[in-house]
Amino acid sequence: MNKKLTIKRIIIFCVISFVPFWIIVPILNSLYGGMLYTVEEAAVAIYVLGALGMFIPSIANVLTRLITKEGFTHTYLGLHLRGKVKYYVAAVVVKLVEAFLAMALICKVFIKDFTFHELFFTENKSQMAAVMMIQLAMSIIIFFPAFGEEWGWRGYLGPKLKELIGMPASIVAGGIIWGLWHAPLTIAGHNFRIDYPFYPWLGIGFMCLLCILMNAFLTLLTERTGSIYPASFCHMVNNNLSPELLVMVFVSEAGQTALAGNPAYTNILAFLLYLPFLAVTGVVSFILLLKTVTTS
Amino acid sequence: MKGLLYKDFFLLKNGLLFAAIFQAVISGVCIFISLPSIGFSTEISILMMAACYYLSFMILAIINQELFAHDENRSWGSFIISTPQTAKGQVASKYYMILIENIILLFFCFLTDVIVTCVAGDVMVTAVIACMFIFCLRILIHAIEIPFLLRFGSRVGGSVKSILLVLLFFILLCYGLFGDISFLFGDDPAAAFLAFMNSGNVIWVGAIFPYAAAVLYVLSYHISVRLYREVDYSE
Repeated sequence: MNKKLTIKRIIIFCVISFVPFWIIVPILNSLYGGMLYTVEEAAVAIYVLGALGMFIPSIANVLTRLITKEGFTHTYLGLHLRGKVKYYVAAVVVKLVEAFLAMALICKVFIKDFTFHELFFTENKSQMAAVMMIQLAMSIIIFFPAFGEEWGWRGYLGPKLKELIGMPASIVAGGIIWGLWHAPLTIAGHNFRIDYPFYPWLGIGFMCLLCILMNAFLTLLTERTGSIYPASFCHMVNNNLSPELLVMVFVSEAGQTALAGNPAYTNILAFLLYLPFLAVTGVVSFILLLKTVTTS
Repeated sequence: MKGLLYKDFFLLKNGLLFAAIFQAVISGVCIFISLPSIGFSTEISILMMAACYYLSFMILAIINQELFAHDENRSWGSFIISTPQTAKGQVASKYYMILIENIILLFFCFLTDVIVTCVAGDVMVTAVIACMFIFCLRILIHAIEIPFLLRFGSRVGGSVKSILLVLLFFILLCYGLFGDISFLFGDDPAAAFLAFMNSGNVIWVGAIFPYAAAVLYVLSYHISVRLYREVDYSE
């Protein structure tokens, strides 16, 4: 393994990945006269930025391979279904379970004076289930931007970091790089908005922590299958079926009104309640990855 | 498997190029429809874009007929089942090829939709849900017709698809004659139609449909493998 070449490739990849957001997001912030995710009129810009921006890591993957004449081997683009279907299923199921548990915890902490029945069973249950199924099916559209991110982070950067610093350190380093990539968006109010203490440093730090935990599970899926698709499915479900969306689908209108009216309910606190479940998945994945490294 | 996919890709090269050019034209039309200066309402824009996306998927389906016609040669059939790929690999390559093509087309429709949203300046101007359902519908139609194409040849298989589409049209005609179509005659038929699609029992059909299409596609593959083995390759 040529360490210098690997470092060069990682640097080129990171520069190509980071530069677009660091240029485009501040321009959009000044165009809209405020932090992007706090301006109502910026809905179209946010949608387009999200949908197309998620392809940047994949573009960086391709460009880095072309610039450094690496070629297109070890791309993780094969399906490798034989004996690995359980990982494809786990990619979706684990994320859904995390989201549902986080939704339940959000309701428990922030919605007082409601019984379980009043919270979840006063609306048309049949319609709720149908909406949930449609939302899950619609996630296929999110698959493309999710693939765009995953092929960059898990399909290229992850293996390069693993070559350089070994598996355990590469999970942490990869997660931090991924979290910092989100920094312009975090500063613009993505995920946590801007009304929290120590903005934006707490948000950026929190994002890095989330990315480290998710990186562990996504890397486990990628390494165990040799394919980028399970991680893409997992990312797709994560983006499309968040705990907040599940609240909108399953919690009664009265419950949602009570939640919105609770001054203690902020985006960053909601994510804090998501953290324990991500931590469990992340730590278990980390241990399983370490076991693979030890046995091999 | 890779070799069979490469073979199918090269055999369909010209058709896929035509499909790519057609999709570029469709994307242009969708972007034009969504221009604020044109003045279409959100609902009309969505329905027109959905119709455009359906045309793209339909053109791809017509091109994919050649996928089966090319391999109806008995020499090829005898050869492929004697290789390590066997009939299973031959059949699987067709299913993978069709799925990959449709996913790539779905991707380009998604990109078109993002540009349309940007041009229209309104996040509500998006036919991405319709696009998803068109993708699932095409997968479902392929799931039904491929076993016939493989067992009886492309001519008979093509007839099966035509019968299916006539049946679908007949069902819609029956609904039109006896069902509630009052929404077509209101002030805003497009908005009323979209509201109807989101209502009551229709939403359940929409909810189950994508999963049914996926399950039937996999089931169709297993049926096709059995049927392909029954084809007589003797001279």
